[in-house]
Amino acid sequence: MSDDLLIALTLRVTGPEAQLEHRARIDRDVVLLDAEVRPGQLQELSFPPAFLTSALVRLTRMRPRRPDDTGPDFSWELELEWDGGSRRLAATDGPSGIRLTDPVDGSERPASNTEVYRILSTLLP
Amino acid sequence: MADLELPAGWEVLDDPTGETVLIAREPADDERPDRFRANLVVTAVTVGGMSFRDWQAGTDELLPRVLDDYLPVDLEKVDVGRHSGGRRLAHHASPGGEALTMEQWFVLVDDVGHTLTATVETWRYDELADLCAGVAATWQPGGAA
Repeated sequence: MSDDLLIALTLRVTGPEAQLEHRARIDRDVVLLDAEVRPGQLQELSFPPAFLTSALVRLTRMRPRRPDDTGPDFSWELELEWDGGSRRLAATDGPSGIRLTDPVDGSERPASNTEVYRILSTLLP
Repeated sequence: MADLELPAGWEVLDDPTGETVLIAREPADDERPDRFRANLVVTAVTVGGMSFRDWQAGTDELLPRVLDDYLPVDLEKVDVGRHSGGRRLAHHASPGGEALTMEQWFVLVDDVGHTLTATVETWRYDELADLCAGVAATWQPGGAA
């Protein structure tokens, strides 16, 4: 990541009852995150960019799935934009696992948590 | 000595003690001598008659208590060597504040729980994941057939 690069990140997580929108500004040294912990209620956090991957795991609620897992599906949409580039990743998640959404044609394909984690660990340019 | 094939150039630390069978780490980076070095650790623990499920349930309880900022990411059943075992992926933080990714392969053979743990800086996980999985694929805990 170059010294002067500034990245704007938006993560929308939609569940059966609410949509939360988390926003962050990222530079070489720090992530400044406004996490929407409840609709309309923001919590400011800051941490080194190396911890962005784990933060996104928490915010997207990714976790190991067990055979007896139940609960509703939810979806998330992640966007990063910087001067000269952007990235977008979208998925649905639920008891049957993660399905990544193709940003061009909207088709879905199953992906393991490990695969998604690898993508999240390489988001920053 | 653990039954696995290490990547070329990886350094094996001498005289592992106790339940640790092997410690190996990637070559040093002369330009960044303070950099965290990816490493592989093999342990073998007598489980005293515990089932695979109970052994791993105990591990799931222990890891958050001994690793800072522990965050489980993935857990699945996989074959390890000739045996049915498992694999987990998790994030944690080092004592020095680095963001780390830990990948473990584990199997229970003849009352001994064998675990291969790969630990890398998270920003290098994608770069090293296939290499670590390749090492795991060569691992024959409990000996080859």
